[in-house]
Amino acid sequence: MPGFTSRDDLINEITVNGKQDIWNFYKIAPANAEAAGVWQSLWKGVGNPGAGLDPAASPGTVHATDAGSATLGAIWFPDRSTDLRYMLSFGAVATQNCTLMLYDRLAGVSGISLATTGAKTVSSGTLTRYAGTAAVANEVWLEVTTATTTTAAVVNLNSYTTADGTTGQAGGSVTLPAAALDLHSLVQVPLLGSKQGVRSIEAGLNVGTAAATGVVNVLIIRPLVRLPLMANVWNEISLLDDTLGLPRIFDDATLGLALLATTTTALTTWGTINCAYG
Amino acid sequence: MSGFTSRADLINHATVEGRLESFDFVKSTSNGTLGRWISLWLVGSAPAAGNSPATTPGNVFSSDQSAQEPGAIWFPDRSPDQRHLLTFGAISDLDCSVMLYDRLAGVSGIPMNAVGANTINTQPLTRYASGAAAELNEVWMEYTTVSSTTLANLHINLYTTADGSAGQIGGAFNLPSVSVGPNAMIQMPLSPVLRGVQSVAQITVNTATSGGVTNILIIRPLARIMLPANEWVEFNFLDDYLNLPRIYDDATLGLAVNPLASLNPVIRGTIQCVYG
Repeated sequence: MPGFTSRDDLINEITVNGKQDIWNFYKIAPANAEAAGVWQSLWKGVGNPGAGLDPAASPGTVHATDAGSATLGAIWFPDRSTDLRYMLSFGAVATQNCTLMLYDRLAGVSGISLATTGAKTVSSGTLTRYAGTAAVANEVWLEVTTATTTTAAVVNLNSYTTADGTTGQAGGSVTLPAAALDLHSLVQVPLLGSKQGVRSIEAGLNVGTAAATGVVNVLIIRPLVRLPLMANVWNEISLLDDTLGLPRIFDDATLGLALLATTTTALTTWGTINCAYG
Repeated sequence: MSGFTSRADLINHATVEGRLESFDFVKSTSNGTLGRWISLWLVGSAPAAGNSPATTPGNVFSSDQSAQEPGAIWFPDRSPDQRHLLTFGAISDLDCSVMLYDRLAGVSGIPMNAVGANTINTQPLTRYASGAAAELNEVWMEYTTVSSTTLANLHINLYTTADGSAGQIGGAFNLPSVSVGPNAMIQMPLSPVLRGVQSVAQITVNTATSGGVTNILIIRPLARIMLPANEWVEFNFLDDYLNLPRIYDDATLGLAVNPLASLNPVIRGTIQCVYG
């Protein structure tokens, strides 16, 4: 029976059977952050893992990563099916105060322009993890690949499919946090108030107010854990004993990191993701 | 059967069978720099200051009751039992984070003052040697001579990953500042798709600096903890974070500190393991 029947079972799986997956990450932020309070993607930062790439243009890329087919930039683990893998702890230290987020990068579409108004076709591919009704905690984020200028763009989702399979839904608008939004900035896009999650984005992202320039990746991600960090002070959270969240890390998970900045200074972070499977 | 079948089994091994061992350490940081990992290998006092490894092909480190590496935290061989880290506790006179690692191999005397490839040619590892066991191995610089004047840029341009893929290249990166002092530890990026490292053949200096000599190390991080000034902090790898890092026979353990100011914390602590 996959999973763990008790704490003792976890100890037995780790020490007797060696069923532990660990990734020690190290990321140098790819640039200065936009500002305090703005998320920054570490996907293209060098380190361990190394720098990632943008997804393809519409219909983009559905991400899957394992020992046989690694995705550039992804934190990944070997396939363990029929066992189930759960994250036991997540610890890190960074050179600036921040909040660090670990997420599973499910799908992405590159080359969406914010420089003109109107609905932009996204047509994201069919998810292979957190698909169907398991998509309730999926989120949509924009990852800036060409900096915006002159005007703070205003965008909303105007045709996407929620976790319960309802198509053609529209989300609330968000104004990007700056007129000149830097490369690698991440902005979450609101979903519908009455339905959870997202399976796919169709004719997708409406630009209500355009910037003079600006291109983004549209991502569907599944946040897994967030960790507050004071500069140069290691912090670690137990997903078993502190929060009993035990996030499941699926086979083919394509994990990425992002940070909520408290300063514009580019940071370096080191950390560890500790999982058990059984 | 090695390992522990339950929490009760672990307690039985520790108390009834006495299979518990610890190492108390005291280390005084030198050249502490805000936000930078600083090696405690080359400073005292318990264990005493270690040495830099030899020049290429350097050293593969091993330490036990019959042959101790100067500077190493070590434990006796316990095979066929397995030893696991149970707690890691310490106190520092300044805010900092501390890392415990297994020092696997090292090569000294790599200059940062000339552009071009430097031969490293580390020897075959004896722990975390290949495959999945080597996936968490990392490559770090350990500075021995200060550099100044120019921000150096470099990369690993020839190394073998955990799965045995030779000739791999790591990402290029700048050193964290123009001036980098002795004991600074700087991690080197690996391949964006392949995990870990078995050996390093060459690193390339893309932009040289004045002065600057470094050791190149292959290490396996085991635990990191945070230490608010003058407050004992102890992490339990059974109950705080169910991780129980394995400490192999011949492990040659070292410490590094990441201080919250450009000062030199003194760190006293203890490492406690259980085997069974």
